This record gives sequence, C-alpha cells and structure tokens, in this order.
Amino acid sequence: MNRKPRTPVMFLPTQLTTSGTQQMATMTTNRPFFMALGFLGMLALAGSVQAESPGVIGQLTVEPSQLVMTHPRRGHSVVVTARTPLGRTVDLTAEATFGSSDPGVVRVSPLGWIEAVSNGTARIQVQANGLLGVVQVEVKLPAAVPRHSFRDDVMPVLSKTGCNQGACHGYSLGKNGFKLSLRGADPKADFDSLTDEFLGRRINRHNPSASLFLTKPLGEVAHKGGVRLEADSLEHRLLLGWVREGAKADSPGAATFESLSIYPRRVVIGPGWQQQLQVIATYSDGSLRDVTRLSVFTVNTERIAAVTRDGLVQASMLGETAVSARFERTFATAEFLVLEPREDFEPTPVPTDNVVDRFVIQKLNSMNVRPSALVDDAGFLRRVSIDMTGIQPEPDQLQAFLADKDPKKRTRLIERLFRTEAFVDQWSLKWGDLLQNSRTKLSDPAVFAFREWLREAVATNRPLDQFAREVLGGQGGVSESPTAAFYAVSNDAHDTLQRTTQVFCGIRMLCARCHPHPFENWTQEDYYGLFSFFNQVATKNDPRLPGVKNAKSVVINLKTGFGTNPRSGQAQPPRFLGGREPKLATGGIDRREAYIGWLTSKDNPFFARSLVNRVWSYFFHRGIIDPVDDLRSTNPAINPKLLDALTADLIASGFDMRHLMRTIVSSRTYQRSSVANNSNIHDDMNFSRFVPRRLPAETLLDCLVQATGVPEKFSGAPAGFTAKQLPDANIQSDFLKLFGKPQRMEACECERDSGANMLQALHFINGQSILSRVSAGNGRVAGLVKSEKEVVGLIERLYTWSLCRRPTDKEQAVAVKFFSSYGDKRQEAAQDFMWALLNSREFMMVH
Amino acid sequence: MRAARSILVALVTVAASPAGVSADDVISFRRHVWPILKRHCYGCHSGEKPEGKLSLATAASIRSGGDTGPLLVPGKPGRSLLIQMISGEEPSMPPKGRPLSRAKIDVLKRWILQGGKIDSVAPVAEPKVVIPVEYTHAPAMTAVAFSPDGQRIACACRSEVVVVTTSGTGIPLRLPTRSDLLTHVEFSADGKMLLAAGGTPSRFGEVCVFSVADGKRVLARRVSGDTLFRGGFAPDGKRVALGGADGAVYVIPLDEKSAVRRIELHSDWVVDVAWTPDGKKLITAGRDKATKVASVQTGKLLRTVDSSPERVSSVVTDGVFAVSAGKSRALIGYQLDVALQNISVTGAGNGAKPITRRNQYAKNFEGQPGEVIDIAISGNRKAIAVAGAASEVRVYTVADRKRTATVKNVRVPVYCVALNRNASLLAVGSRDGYLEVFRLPKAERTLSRIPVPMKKTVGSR
Repeated sequence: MNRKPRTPVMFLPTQLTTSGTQQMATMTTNRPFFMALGFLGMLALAGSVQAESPGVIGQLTVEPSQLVMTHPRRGHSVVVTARTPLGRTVDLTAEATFGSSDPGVVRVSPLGWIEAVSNGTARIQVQANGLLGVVQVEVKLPAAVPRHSFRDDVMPVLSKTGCNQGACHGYSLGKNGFKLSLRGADPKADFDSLTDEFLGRRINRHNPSASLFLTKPLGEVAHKGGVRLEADSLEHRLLLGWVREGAKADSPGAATFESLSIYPRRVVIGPGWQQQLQVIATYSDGSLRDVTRLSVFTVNTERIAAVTRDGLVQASMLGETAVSARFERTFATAEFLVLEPREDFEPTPVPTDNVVDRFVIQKLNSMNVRPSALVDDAGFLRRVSIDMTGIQPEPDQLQAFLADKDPKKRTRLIERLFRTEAFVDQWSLKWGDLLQNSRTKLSDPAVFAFREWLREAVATNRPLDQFAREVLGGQGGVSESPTAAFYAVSNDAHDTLQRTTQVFCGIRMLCARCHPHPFENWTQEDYYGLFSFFNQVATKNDPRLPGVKNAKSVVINLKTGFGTNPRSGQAQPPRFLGGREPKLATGGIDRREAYIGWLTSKDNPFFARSLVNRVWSYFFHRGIIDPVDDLRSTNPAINPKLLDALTADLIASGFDMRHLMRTIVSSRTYQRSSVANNSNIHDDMNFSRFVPRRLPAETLLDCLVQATGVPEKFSGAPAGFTAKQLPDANIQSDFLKLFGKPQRMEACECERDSGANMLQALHFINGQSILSRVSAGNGRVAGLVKSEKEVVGLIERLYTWSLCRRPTDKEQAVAVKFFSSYGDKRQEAAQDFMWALLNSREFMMVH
Repeated sequence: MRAARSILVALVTVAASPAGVSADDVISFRRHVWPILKRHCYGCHSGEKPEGKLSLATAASIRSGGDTGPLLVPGKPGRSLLIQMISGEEPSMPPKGRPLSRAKIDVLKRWILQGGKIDSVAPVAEPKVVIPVEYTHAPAMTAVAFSPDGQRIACACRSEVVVVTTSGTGIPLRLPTRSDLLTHVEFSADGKMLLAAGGTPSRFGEVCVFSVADGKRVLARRVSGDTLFRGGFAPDGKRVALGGADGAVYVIPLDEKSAVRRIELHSDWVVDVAWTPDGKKLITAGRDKATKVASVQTGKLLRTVDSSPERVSSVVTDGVFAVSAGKSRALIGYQLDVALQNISVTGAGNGAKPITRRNQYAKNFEGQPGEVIDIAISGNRKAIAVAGAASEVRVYTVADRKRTATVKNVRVPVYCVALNRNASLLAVGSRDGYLEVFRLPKAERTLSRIPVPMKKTVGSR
C-alpha cells in the first residue's frame, strides 16, 4: 500500500563538464547539504559509542515496587533502573542481584524472575551498583491450580512464535493445509482448526508431547516454517500444559484481556546502552500479568535501536525511535531517545510567542540539541515563496526584500504571498492531487469544474470543516455539484471509504477489508462500519452529457441497506472510527450526513490532527507523524505536544487553513538555516534545522521556465498554463513524469515521487529542458548578455535569476575568471554558466 | 559494569554454540552435527516431498544426497556440497534467514574432514505410541465399521482398534497399533480379518491386519511419510487402496513382500478412496477439492469429475454413481458411465479428453446442514449415511437420492459413520469418543458408550 515512504530528499551530485566544475565546487562548499552532514554524523558517532561511563545517582527505581501474585504459573519480571547526573536512564536489571526475604512464599531467579510459591507476603531485595531497592510481594493463590487457557496461554504463543503471521499459517489460505487467523484475530476458528480438523490429528490428548502441533514447531518432524519453539521454553510449556489438560476450550465467564501497558514508557539513553522492557496486561477482573515474554517487539527505526525477542532494547545510533510491543492484537509503545552525553549543554530559552517554536525547542532541549541559526533574508524569501506559491521570487522582488528595513518584513511577505495567484495555483494543485481530480476517471467538464471549485475554496480560504462538508456532500452531475467529482472518482464504496479515511483522517484502512489491520486494532467491523456510511452512493452515466467520456452523475440510493461483513456474514451497522455506532435507520436517510457531522466535529480526534500533520509536511521534509497519512498507535508523533498544540490551534481558529500556514511559516522553526551546528548534526527528525528537499516536479519546471525565460508548452492543456495550473496529469510531459508528478490514481501522498534518481540527473545535464533553454535566442541568457554590459553585473543577474541570491565575493571572483577564459565568446560563457547554476543542487532543492 | 555484561554474553554464546567442542575433539554426528542439521536444514529436507529430493531423515538418505548429488566428499570439506551450499558471502542455504554461524560451519567441516561418519542410524527418535490402560481423556473415534454379519463393530480410537458387540454385551477386544492416528477400519468380506490403517502424522503411514478370531496382528506394513487416509479393501479382498498425504493412492497387497503401487492423482492429500464393485476403477477425494476417477489397471486418471469450492472429505460408490461431499455441504452424485463416456487415455496418461459436461452427470442430493466429514455405504451398496459437523446424520438411497432416515441429536462433530449390510443399523463415532448405534429407519438408539476404558475419577468431555 505504502509504496514509497517519504524520505529526506538527497539529490545525486551532478557531474559537470570542466567549465563548470570550479564554480560548483565553490558553491557546494558554501552550502553543506544533508548528505555530507549525514556522513559526518556517522563518523562522529563511531567514536562516541560508550564514551560515558554511566555513574548513577540517587535511588534505584524498581518496577514493580509492589506486586500481588494470584497465579501459580505466571511469574513477574523486575526492571531495575537508575539515573545518571545528566538525567539519562541506566538499566541495571542485568547487573542487579535479587534475593527473597521468604523463599517459602516467593522465589526469585538470578535474572529477577519472581515466582509465587505459597500464600503470604515477602520482599524481593534488589541490589545494584551499591544501591538498594525492594519489591513488596503478596501471594494470594487460588485454592485450585487454574487450567491453561486457550485464549490467554495458547493464542499469545501462536503470535509470539510467529505461527499466525501473514507469511505462515496466518496467510488467507493457510500453509500446508493448516490455517490460523491472521495474528490471532479469530480464537474460535483457531481452536477448531487446532483441535478438530482432520480427525484431531494435530493434538494427542493422551500422548501430549507427540502432538503434531508441538512436534512441527519443535522441528522434530518436517516443518517448512523451521524451528519456532525451543524445547522447555515458556512457550513450549504453555502449549504442552494446555494439551496435557485435554486441550479444552475456555469456560465462559473467565476474565478477559483488557489493556496493555509498557514500562518504561520513555527512555533517554546513550548509544550502545541497553534497556529491558516490561509489558503488563490488565484483565477484566483487575489482575495484572507480566506478558513481556509473550509479546512481539518491533522497532520503528531500526538504525537507531534493535530489540531482542525478549524485549531488551539495544541503542545503536543517536536519534529516537518507538519500540512497540504487541500482545493479543493490542500495542503498547515505548519511546527511546538515544543521546550523546553533553555536559556543557545549555538549553535554548523556550519561546512563548509561537506555538511551534515553544514545543520544538522544548523537545530539542530534552535532547541536548541546539537549533540552527535563522536563515538569511534571501534564503527565507526563496524558501517561503517556493513552499507557499511554488515559484521562486524574481530578482526585483529579491532586491526589494533585501532593501526593506522593516523588522516585520517577513510577516508582510507572508501576507503578500497569500494574496498571489500562484498561492491559489499551488494549493489547488495539492488538493487536486489528494482528491484525485483527473480525466482518467472524470469527464473533461467535471475536471475543470472541480478544479475551479478548489481554486475558489483556496482563494476564499474556505474553512477546512466546510471544505470537507462540501467535498463529501456532493451529489448529481457536473452541473449540479462540482464536488460530486469526489465520488465519481471512486470505483465503489470501498474506494470511497478508503480515500475518505486516508485524506481526511490520515488513516489507511485497506488492510482491514480482508483481515484485521496488522499494525493497529482496526477490524473488519470497523472497515464495514465505514463502508455502510458510503454504500448508498452510486454513479450512473450523466444523461445531460450524452457521449461525453466519463460523464457521471452521483446518485444516492436511500433504500440501500447496511454493508455485509464477509467474516460474520452479518449486516454491519455504520460505525465511526473508534467504535461508536450511531443509531441510523437502515434506509430512507442519506447516511453520509452522519459521517460528515462526525468528521467535521471539533471533537473528532482524527480530522484536524491529520490535516495539521499533512499541512506541516508540505513545509518540512517530513510530517510530525510520518508517513503523513498513516496515523496509528504504532507510528507515534515525533513531537506529540507540538501536534496537539497545532491541532487545538487549528480548531480554535475555526479550521482556518491560512492561520495554520501562517503559524508554521512565521515560526523560527520554519526559518532555520539548513546549516547544521555540532549539536544538531545528527538530528533530522526534530526540525532543529531545515532539511533540504527536492523541488516538486511542477515547481521545478516553473522555476526553470522563470529563470530561463523560455516557457514550456504542454499538449493536453490550455495554452499558457504553468505546470502548477495543469488540470491533471493527463498531459504529455516527460519532465513532469520524470520528476514524479502523481497520476492521481491514489489518495496517498506517497504517489508523488519526491526521490532522486540518475535519470533526473542525466536529464538535467544532457536533456533539452536546460540546454535548449539557456541557448534560446529569445531567452533570459540572450537578453541579459545584451542588456548587461559589465561581466560583474551579468554574473549577478544570472545568479539572482537562477539561485535567487547574489554571488559571494569568492563566487564572483571565480565566475569572472571563468568568463575571461572564454575570451570574447561572452554569449557562450553565459550559457555555460547558467547551465551550471541550474544544475546545482542549490537550484533543485528548497533549502 | 558494561564489561561484566560483555563477559556474560560471551559465556552464554560459547555455551550455546556447537563450537564449544575443542579443536582436537572427535566430532560426533549425533552429538554435534545432527543438532545443527536439525535446526537449520531438517525442516525442508525431510517429509513427504523433501526439497531438492534431499532427505535428512535417515542415515542412508543423508549419504545418498539429493538432486544435485551427494552431500559429502569424506575428508574433503571444500569439495563437499554441504559446505559449499552454506558458506560464502551470500550462501545458497538456508534460503531464508541468517546464514549459519562460522562456528557451526566449522563443526560440519571438521566432521567431514574426519570422514563424515554417521554414528546414529535414526537421528530423529520416533515417538512412542501411548495406549493407556485407562484413559483420562476419551480418544476421538476416527473410524468405525460393522462386521459383515452386523454382530460386531470395530472402532478406531486414536491409536487402537476396539471391537465391541453391536448389542453392547461382552468385553471389548482391544487391538493396539504402532500408529499414532488410525484413520480407517474395515472387516474383510468373510469377516475374518480386520484392517486398520493410519500412521503417525508427518512420519509414516501404516497398514495393519488383525485376525478377528484371536486378535493377533497378522500383518503390518509401513508406507508413505505421513498417515494413510481412508479407503478400503479391493473387491477381491487381496489388496487395499488407501489415500496418501503425498497426493497418491497407495494400493497395498496384503502380504509382506509384494510391491506397493503408488498412483499419483492429486496435488494434496487423498483423503478417501472407493473401489467400484468390479474392481476396475478407483474414485478418490482430495484435500485439493477434486473428486477423481482412475483406472486400476493402468493407474491413469480417467477424469476429474468435480472440483468443489472447498476440500472434499469422503467418497463412496455403488458402481453406477460415485458420491462425494466435504466442507462445502453439497452432496453430489456423479453418474459414472456418462462422466466417462468415450474417455480414452492416450500418450503419457492423464490426457483424457472428456466429451460430456458436468451438468450431464452430476446429480445433486439435498444440501447438507454442516460440513460433511464422512459418508458410509451399506454392504449391499444401496444406501449411504452422511455425517459431519451437524447434529444429524442423514441416510439416503443412492439410486434415487431420496432421504430414507434422519438421526437427530447425535454427538457433534461426527468423525465417522458406518452402515450394516442392509442399512438397518447405523453406527456413529464422534470426536468426544462415543460410539452410538441406531436402528433404522426409526432412529432408535440401541447403544451409546465410550468403547475404551476410562479412569473413574476423571470426568470425560
């Protein structure tokens, strides 16, 4: 589904001809870009692993400090930590020694595994690093030894050992005749296939250890899945115990699993350090169970840290990552911050005037990172112009901006950009992509009508809630409702619910169509609950546009009942994301209205949050949550407070899109330089510096056209349209294709390819897009050669048209030398020179 | 503090690694080599269809190697295929997951250098079959059959056969086998012999014949690498045909020596086989969802008469119709003469070109209330009983597909059913271990018992 996750863009260093090499060398040393930084960062890291010997202060933290044990087989782990003077966590679990005050009541293994022996109370004494800690244990065992439970003992093992994963028996057709529900979604079905299928061949109740169900994963007989179970491991003992007791079904009324928590939730450690995790399940009778050894652990960013099968996290690189534990299809997440020790770190004063800066700086302070300085005026002008309006400023705008002495000129610039036509072009393009306005699925008139509607919405700054209401409320043909195009794009209600959820909630539901979502607790009930909001929508041919290709009219069949959940075969009533089912009649009303009301409510937990995240990502190299349209508990925000604050701010502003943009681009965070300092060189996630990214296809082409003064002709669109104004991707343009303009076939930000490849580099070096433009007789270069008599002036004009800044003295000197090497061939020199400037990474990136 | 942990880790690594053997030790196959092969290789290179035809199941098969030749050149690790496959930058084996550690490869190299002897003939211990004197959990009844005179009933109770009288009197005769799971029991036409077939899952299939008079085992033959499934005596009584997990029908002569015939027909387990009364054709039901007809004489497929949307569990035939059913709940009769009209098998076989269409020969019975697990046919081949996940067993006349009796409230799921010669008695075996006998057509229950002895103190399921 997610074909291309967004990554920080790195353009390939372009190879240059001899004439350009020197200039490029000068320019690139001026501007250290991300790639070089990343490399330096790695060097710095290699030398720093385990540099700090963690002297600890204060007390041991022992988790849990109190424990009530009510089950004879369920032991409990202890996690022992302490803190360094610099506030980082040191895991002492492995070094600690443990002793029980009364081994007749509880015993404890050398690794800190506590087991109940008999009723009573006792203390577990913990000693580590000369410090002491205690766990108070109360043992209250039931009179009879509880039976093993299929639900609570066997099912978690099937997940832990991977039996029910998608590549194995969790595959929709099973493997080798044995099918389990994917990741344990359907315990009843799994019980039946284990105990009942093929004359009960998998379980032998009177010879338990001979059960195929055990000999296969133990590797005692042929098993394509290999050895999944260690003899006498906890997992093996649970499975064997259940078979020994007759492989029985659970008695109804037993306590059920309710929630999952992880300890520690937030860890600050150094590279090379470790931290043991502890995962606790809470059951409906209030009992707690240590399920660390039955949980499945995954690390979100593997280069930062690794986690073992048993939940021991090993930090490797500076940075941060989430570590998720999965038990019973529920996730708990611990945040890991891997930091270099920095005793001399002085926190940056936390600003209070801008909500963005406040939370970004707070986060950076907690990470011992100082932000980069602010970008200079020329840099800001180019950056904000490109991001807000998709086009570079022209030299006279640069001139005026640099000359302006008003301290509030950046604020004034932002307000001016809001009023430009290019702003409307830029943001109606984004919406057009996202809502898939394209002649592939829509008629020509529908595409233009929807495009006009979007332009008007952007130009009048329509509040986002109203925007969504109108997009989702469309009905009829082009003449009645331009926004009905949203539905006309969909193949069916599946398409509609997936697009709606992805665009307006930032959530990907496709997985849950066929099976429970693997990374979030969305089920088929949730999926078909959404389906039932949209399955009254249908399209038919628009009778008023006979013979027009793709002319569709959106109709609502009020009689259509709820959708059917294929797993249960039952009708699924409409259900909002999160589980609430509104009481709606099965027919006679347009059920979309209930959905729209829920979506655009101020209390909706997804709508504003996902839009904030999405808009943020248009101004930075990543979202606060990334990928931006994949919000889920296992993909936590890099800065939750920032996201929360911006969300609240957007709602308070009445869903004012421009207010949100203004808050973002006015912040110091947005205005940081892309030059790193020694404390933020590793950080490419927390917005401590500006991380350059490649210009989007349309912007790149429009900037190229503006710099060279040679327009691009598109077949398939009205003459004079800029790349940003194109109605859709159904036009002939190798350039736009090559640089990743989305085809509008998906509601995913990932459809736009922001990556760099060799073909792009070759196209810039050898392709006609630049060569023919710099040498055009009526182009910018030819004009400047005529109007600028002095070489110095010519060089400056070429710089300002291409890179939107004046050359440095050093660059100026090199350029003069370069021009003199061409003798009287000034025209040729100017062409080569501009070609080199346009081939620089500085031109191709917003930085 | 960190150093201490590193040492601890190092110690653990050494202890767990087979490299713990020191340089001069003699490498033992059983103690050093086999654990490595079992962990990293055995999963795929064993079983019914070992990858690359290399099986590590026996010493002989390890020695003979697979498709690409012998595994070892004794004394020359570098020239041995085993070492070549697992070493190098990107070793070919294992195909997925991490390559073997250098220490493990080193053990294998040294083993080959020392001659590559295999000092243990059966590297994988065969699990003992346990037949308790008294059971704690009643074993599911997996197969059931009437004697030709209807006086006795043989029940397969997991690993043993228990023969009880239909009246329920007398002491049951217990016949233990060495198979973990029996899937089929059947009396010979003269009632003197009792066939029990099955095997141990993922290990072997086995056929046993007992003399009914004294309970002595007169024959035991092992075939296949997994249990055998259902099937039956040939009309001549000299052979049995049983389904195999490798997609083949096993035709097994009932003596110690004559060769076993394998007829490959399905792409998955053959779960049931039925002989036509003339002994010329075999009808087979597969987990691959197909129902097929094959010629006994040539061993060729005559026709795949049906492909169900779900797996098929059972098949019977009266010679005119074949009847099969399974998970899809559809009970369908196939008129054989129409289905096989003008079928001629040419060339390498399985190339039959049928001329009739399915709707010309497939005749639907009424739909079934649940997954069908077993179909029984009466001795006179006129009636069938159909049973499975639903709580009723239905009896039909084959010729007109009419229901003649319904037995309600049986213990579910039913794993096996049997009819006596004239379909006046029905035996039902269930997962909970019960045998129940009903008089037809009125469905009066005449017997209900667990045939194996149970421990008194423990309640059964």
